[in-house]
Amino acid sequence: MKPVAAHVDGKFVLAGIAGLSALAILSLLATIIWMSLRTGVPGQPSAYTFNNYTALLTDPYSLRVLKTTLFFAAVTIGISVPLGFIFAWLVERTDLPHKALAMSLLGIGILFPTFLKAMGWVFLLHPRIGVINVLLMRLLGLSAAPLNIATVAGIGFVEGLTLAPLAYVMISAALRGMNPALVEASSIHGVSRWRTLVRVELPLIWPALVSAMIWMFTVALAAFDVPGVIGMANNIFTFSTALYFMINPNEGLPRYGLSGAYGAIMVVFSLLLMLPYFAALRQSHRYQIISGKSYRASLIELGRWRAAGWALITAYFFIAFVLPLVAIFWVSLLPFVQMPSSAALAGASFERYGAAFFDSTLVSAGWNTLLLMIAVPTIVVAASTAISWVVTRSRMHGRIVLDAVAFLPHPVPHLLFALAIAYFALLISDIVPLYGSIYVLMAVYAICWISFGTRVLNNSMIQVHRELEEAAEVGGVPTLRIVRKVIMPLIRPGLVYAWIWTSLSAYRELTMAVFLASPRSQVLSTYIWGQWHGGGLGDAAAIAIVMMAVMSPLVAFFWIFARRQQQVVSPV
Amino acid sequence: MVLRAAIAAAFVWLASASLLHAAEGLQQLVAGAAKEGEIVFVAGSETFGGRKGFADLAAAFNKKFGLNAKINFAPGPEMNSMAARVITEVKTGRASTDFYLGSQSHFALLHQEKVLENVDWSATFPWITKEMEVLPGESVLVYISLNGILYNAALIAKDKAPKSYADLVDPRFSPTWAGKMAIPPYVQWLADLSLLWGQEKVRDFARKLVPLSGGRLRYSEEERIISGEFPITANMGGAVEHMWMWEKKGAPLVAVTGSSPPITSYFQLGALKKAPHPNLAKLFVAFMASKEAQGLSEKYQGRTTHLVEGTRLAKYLAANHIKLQAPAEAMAAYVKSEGGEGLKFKEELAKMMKQ
Amino acid sequence: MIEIRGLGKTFTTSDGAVRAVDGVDLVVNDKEFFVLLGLSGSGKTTLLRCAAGLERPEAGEIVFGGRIMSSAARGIFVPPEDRAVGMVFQSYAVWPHMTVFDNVGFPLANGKKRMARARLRERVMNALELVQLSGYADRPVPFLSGGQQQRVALARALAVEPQVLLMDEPLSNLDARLREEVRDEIRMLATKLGITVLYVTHDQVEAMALADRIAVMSAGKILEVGAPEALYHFPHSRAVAEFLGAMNAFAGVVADSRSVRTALGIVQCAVPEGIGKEVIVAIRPEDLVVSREVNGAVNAFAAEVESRLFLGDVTVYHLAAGGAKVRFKTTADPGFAPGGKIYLKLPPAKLRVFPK
Repeated sequence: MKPVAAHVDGKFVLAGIAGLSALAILSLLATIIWMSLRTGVPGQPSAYTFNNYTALLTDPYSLRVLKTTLFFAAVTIGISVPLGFIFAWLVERTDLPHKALAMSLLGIGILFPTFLKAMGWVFLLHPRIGVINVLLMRLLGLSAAPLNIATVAGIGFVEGLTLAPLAYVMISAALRGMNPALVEASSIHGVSRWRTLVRVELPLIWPALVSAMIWMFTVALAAFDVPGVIGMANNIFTFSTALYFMINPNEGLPRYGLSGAYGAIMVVFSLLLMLPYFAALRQSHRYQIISGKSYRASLIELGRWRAAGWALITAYFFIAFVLPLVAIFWVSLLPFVQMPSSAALAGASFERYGAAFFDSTLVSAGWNTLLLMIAVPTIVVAASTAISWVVTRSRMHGRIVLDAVAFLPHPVPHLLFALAIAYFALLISDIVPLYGSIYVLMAVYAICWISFGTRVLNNSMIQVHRELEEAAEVGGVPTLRIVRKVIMPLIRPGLVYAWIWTSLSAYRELTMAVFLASPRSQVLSTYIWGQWHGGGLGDAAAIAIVMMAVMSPLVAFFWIFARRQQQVVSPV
Repeated sequence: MVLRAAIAAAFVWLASASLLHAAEGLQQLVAGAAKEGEIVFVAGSETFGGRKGFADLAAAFNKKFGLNAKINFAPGPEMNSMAARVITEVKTGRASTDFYLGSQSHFALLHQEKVLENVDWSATFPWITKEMEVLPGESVLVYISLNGILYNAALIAKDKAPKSYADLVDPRFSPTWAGKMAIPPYVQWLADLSLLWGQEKVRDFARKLVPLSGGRLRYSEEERIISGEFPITANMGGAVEHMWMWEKKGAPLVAVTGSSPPITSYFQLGALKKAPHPNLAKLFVAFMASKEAQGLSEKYQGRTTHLVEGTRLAKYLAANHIKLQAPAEAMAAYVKSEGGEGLKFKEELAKMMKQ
Repeated sequence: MIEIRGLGKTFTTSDGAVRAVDGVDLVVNDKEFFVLLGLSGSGKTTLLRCAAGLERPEAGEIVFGGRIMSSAARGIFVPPEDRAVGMVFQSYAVWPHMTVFDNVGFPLANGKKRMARARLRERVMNALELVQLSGYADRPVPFLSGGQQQRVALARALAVEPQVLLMDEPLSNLDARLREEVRDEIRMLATKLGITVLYVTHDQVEAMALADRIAVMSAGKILEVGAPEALYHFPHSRAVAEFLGAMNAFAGVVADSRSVRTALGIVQCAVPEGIGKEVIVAIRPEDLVVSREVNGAVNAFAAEVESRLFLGDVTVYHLAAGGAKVRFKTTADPGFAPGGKIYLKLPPAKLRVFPK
């Protein structure tokens, strides 16, 4: 009866991994609530109290933060979703030439850290030191800067611009999944292209647009990068940066309790957002009707507008990616930040770069980043495989709940998980000296990205016919072996895709890291952030360029590999 | 009387014992340090000249004590965040930095939370005087910073520039920087100012200052004045050293001490309890108050203490006939500002700054 | 009504260029029900989509009732919305975010010629009446069955009163019984409304049931055009013959001007090829004559019953005769048992001879 025992054990192991992951997610959320009910430093005795909530709700500052955050999120959505839609439509529905190149130009932006681009934007559009502003003022003889990045709308614009490729990916998946006959049926019966777009195409991808908007909203709610880099010095605070200053105050001790209250409110907020999200999802399922034979949708001929389409994509690539990069590069060459001029150019040198390569902290930050880029995706893929198996394959009780729990880190801003794990690690730091180590980052990254991993793998596993597994089961193969030998080879593209995407996320992540990184666990992003925040703008710029240059080949390799494994799949 | 004599005798005995211990104490520290091998120091990225400064400091340090220790300098959060973190860490487990750098406010907090290691600095290290122990038995003065207004001379002409803090809110001058001026995200400088001006005048000053501001700059962010992101900041710790430092690179930065006597920050180092490398920590703290270290500190960040002979600051103070408070006095003044009334005033100021 | 001349359409795929439509000439008469029949990949759907204007051909011309819709040489291409055609898709392509009524009315309300609301309502209800869905006007379409959805699609195509109705495998997503029902309905409607229909299918039974004429396509070319009966009984090629139904095919060599030597033996038949040429002699399974006794001398061969398959309306026998496998189909089951010795006869009039 040995095979039977092994069989049971295998299921037990998978369920165990899945259960542990779910437990980690839930306990971190519980930690947030718990810390919101306490005061003082973690580990110190404290009575339970609602003071944090009263303090929060009665402070006009929190109201201002709320307003700022909402406005910021609205601008982010307003920029990213329409841009994403236009790009998706151009690529999926028209005869735009060189689509592979267009997709790469749009996609490459996602791969590089947002906060680096935000740094560049300060040097481009700041009312006083933004090169573009200064040029415009000189050219047009203006007395005041025409464009101001140091406003809520400005940081929303930058965030929206960097998120547009993500919106593009989500929307193009919906456009691609839509039966092209639905559009053809309209034009063939005499309805014009424009009316077809407005009355047929848009309503049909509306669920995808809604979920893209909600996703952008949750990202904006939690985004630390742009508000941190541009907003902080200009006295603009969103949820995430306000939270940052509660943990890292300019004067006095950190207020964990208050930050917990902020966090708890954000959790509730983001969970409420899931209601319309799921409504949209349900609607899109209803819209999935029988598909005919697969043929390529006939593409709209752009004619003279081809050039316009390409102009838009190129302009986007330059504005969102190349220009900020050039700005950072320029700053990195100077002894101090100056407008481009021949005098400034005379003082330019690569001095900072020479120093950067011999900086042992930078080198160890690089190694730490690499470690996370390998370990985190491996953990995520392993845990997600277990969870997805239990959810889609087994008939275990509570698998629906497990799926919901695995989904939780998706809507709940990741920085809250970082906050919770910091608090938790502090609590247990006498017993387990995890606090401040790279493993804390590893743990929280893995926990947060399980939601992504399970979305991808659920999708993959559903497509593997159950009978393939049952055939092996009937043959007496134990569960773990079935998973390894039958399921995993069949969903390999999904596994590889999830791994690569998670790895790239680990490379670019700042928000969670900034709450957790300690001297022992610096990663590249926090190291640069530390330089920037500490006033070393030039050094931050130089290291940013080094970070991008060193990682570029790896990122390019990943990009090509991921593209080959699977068409770019929406990470949501 | 008998009792008093007994106590006096005990003191004498203790003092002589510790004197005897001094040389031996230093030797023991060096011996212990040799086994530790490395030291970790976390502070703002430009501290003591940053990476380059630390390379030279490490060499001088090892030479002075005949060691071969590795100095791990990790750029980290600025002083206040770091103080908060150090307190949390020492209380809950292990410090992530061996020693700490900060000024009055931070050390008052560290002292109050009892996270500083007790060391008889002046007895153990011959080059440290009693006066340099800002918190006796806990911290050592390593440099002094004069607070002041800092502005970009390329953007604000000398004749339009403020001569004092009061000028900042004077409607005759303020239009030049209205809406573009940065202010610090701290209130301590205002509390310090209130010891000179009185609370009412500072309250009025702050009320006028905040609406004129366009952003917040911390005390390490002077590069953003040079870049022109903000043409002026109402106050910056170490304004004078910043000016000296950037003069060398040709940056148009001008510091104006806004009050007389100037608001002064006394930067101290202290070894931490639960430090991973306690011996090296003590040696390095003491080392930073030595002539060798002061020379390097001057070279890399223009920061020194007037209590060490021949430093630039000592010369500057003498040349400008500026007299400073004794460090311990300043510390006491700070602690006073932390008392009931002072604390309430600071909270009031903090609320005004959040606008 | 529809004239297609020298039509060509090439797709570029990852494996290189594919000539989906390769020099097709075709004339569809007014009010004719014309079926394009072929396997998947034969180019029939591409041809239909070219007619619809959903694909732009790179060679040839398409003319509807004298109006040039597309001419590669003259650079004319009328977009689909201006061709005044109706189309029914394999996937129904009814809009899931609209009701039945809105689906049918949407082109009328948003097309080139907008109509008054009352007239629109009348047109929509008429169309729904035609497909027997008048009671469902206000239902959202996702709640309808597949057959009903396809009727909505048909009503939508008819409501625009097209001069040409294009249908792209409209029945293939329906289950077998429903398929026949809707098929007969379509045929009836087409006759009743008197419209020209161009219909694509891969199912030869469907094609024969519906078509006035059939064009059999393969590899982008039209093999043969003709009425269903002619194509079934007198195909010009083995490919067309086998496409329209099962065939017994015997490879052989022409022995003289009236006979072919095959594995069965000498078969008497009309021989188009010269002596010594390799040919295929073919006969449909239902055209064989089978008996227990020898029945005449011409083309009669002894055979053995290998198996019997009872299919309800017909019975199929697998026979072995002189080293050849023979399939025999009959509606009147003679009740032979496997292993039984019988005689089969190939009536010369039913025999087709194709070049090998």
